[in-house]
Amino acid sequence: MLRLAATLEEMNLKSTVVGPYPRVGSKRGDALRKELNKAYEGTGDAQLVQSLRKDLTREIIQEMVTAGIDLPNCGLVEVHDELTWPLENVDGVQFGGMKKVFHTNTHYREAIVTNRISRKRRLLSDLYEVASEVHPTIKVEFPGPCTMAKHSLLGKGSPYRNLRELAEAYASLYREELAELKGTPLVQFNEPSVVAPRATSEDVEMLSELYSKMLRGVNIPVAVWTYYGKYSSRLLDALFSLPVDVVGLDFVWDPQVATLLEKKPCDKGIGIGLIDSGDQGLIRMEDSKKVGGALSMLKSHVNFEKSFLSSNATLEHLPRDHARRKLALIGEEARRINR
Amino acid sequence: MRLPLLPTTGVGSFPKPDYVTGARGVLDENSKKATSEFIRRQEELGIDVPVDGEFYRGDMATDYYRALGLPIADWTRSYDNRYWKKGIVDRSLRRIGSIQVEQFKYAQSLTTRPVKAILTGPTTLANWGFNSHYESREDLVFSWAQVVRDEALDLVKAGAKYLQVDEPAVAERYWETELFREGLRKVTEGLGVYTITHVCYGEFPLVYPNMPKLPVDQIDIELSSELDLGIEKSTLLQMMRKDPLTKYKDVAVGVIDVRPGVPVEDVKTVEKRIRMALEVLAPTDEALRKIWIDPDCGFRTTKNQDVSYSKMKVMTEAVEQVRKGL
Repeated sequence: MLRLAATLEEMNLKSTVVGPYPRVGSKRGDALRKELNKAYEGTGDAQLVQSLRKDLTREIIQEMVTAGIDLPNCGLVEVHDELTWPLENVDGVQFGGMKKVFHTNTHYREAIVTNRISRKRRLLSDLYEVASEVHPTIKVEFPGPCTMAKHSLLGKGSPYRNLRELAEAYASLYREELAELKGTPLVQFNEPSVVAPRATSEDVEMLSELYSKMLRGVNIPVAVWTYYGKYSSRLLDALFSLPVDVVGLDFVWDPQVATLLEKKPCDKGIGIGLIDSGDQGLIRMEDSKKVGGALSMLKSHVNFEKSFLSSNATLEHLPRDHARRKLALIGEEARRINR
Repeated sequence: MRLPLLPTTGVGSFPKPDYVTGARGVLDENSKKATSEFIRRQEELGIDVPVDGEFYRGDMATDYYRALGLPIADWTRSYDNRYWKKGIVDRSLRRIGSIQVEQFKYAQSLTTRPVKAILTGPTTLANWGFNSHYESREDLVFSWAQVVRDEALDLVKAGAKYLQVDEPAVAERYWETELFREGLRKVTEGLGVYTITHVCYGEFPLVYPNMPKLPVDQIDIELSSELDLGIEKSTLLQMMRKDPLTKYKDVAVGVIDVRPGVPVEDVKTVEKRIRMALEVLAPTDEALRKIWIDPDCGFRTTKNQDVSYSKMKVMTEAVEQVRKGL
């Protein structure tokens, strides 16, 4: 088992975020939205768009730090949607129409694989370095290879014949990427589609082999984050058997997973997705006492020194002001349980 | 009014002309002008059951929240650089006045053809907004159902003969089909008019098995992409062929692609789509009489009036060609 970055390991339960952070709701975010609209109409300034993205990234990281988030991501303010964006940097893939994938009214581009895939450039955004200027420990976050494969189409010319072969090809891309990542505190792969309502037993079966191949010899802490679904005993076993350091679980969709965890001691860190991201339309703040109570119960059988408190999924489901309050809650509750 | 075989209709929205700005659900002089022009053009094209174009609408869900005096949250992102403002249910839902009866009456006053009245359904209203008040999904959906039913009753009083309840969100939470059906039943039960539900943008194979049980006379479903895919490659078309929905319901078949940037189809393409739909859904004469033809969804997404009118023209010409052979 790898160790998390030294600064993080000194802490008990740590706080983190998941997925893209809301962009609009500040002057910089609103300016970016307007400039992007101009760009799409052919009158925008690409340099200004990039400059605004950098400014907004700095602003968001500062917002996360102010809220007490120990391990921010880079805010992901440039991604089209959270499922397919790394494939913009890959040869052999085209983007098709928009599709709803989850229960939210969010649209995702369908990636169509038309040839053997290869990286054109690194997958990680330049904004990662911008975020790292503001905070010393920024985690890297990618859509997981299984989820990305599930929402891709095998087009004419695809040498991959099925989901498993495509997922393995995506995993190979990530393996190259991981080899180039140095000093990253944590690399997180989001795999909602292995637990979301349309997940199949085949998805779960492929996970172990997929991640074993992808992470063989990799010397960086890695997390697999899951959300938008419920956990069977078998699924939890499969997730805990992965060669990763942290497994993120969705306690909002499945509060009973806490009971299941009690029966399945695990030496991995747990991503405790306890704070509602608003993905199901609820827009109220959690009762601090209830959050504290849930964490106290988990403390007896979850290794908090390796674990993280977070929202269950991206806070982008919420308006920015609500997301900011959720961040503050995550930061505060993690600090409170450590006292 | 006696309708011909394969009656034609719209789904609801149409791109707004430049002079209609800042629509928030209220019928003003500009949206009246646009409605009048749109109704006239539909008559010219021979649309059997026209729609009002929804020029007064800002958003099919958020306008209802506004009409009930509910707060509207700041922007949330849908994808890329597309954002929307969702309303918040922060109290018990209660209609405080009619929401679109005036709009319906105005559109109907412009034509002798029966204008289809269009409402947003309770599941979509629940899914496409925030909730900080109700403890359960059932309470939320059924409370919206009461609001929509009150509106439906007023529309019926105002003379609506065709009433469509839009539920584009239904496939998002396909595991809640029972809740969707019960919400819809609470809206449509005993209205005494021809009722329709429109569904789009979803994985329909997941909800198709439950469609026969929906408490409406007609199910309106987007199909153009599936029809282009062909029966052999489309799971949905195979399901339809195996157990045609026309055994249970009238079916409006979406045969025009309304996604932005999709060029105007040629008549032959649309004819082919219609013939394939008939092959799958209308194995008997009785079933044939249950088929309607319309676009996949409202034309608003094309963002272009000329393109939309051209697509409607192609649709009516294709229907005319198919009718000749029946």
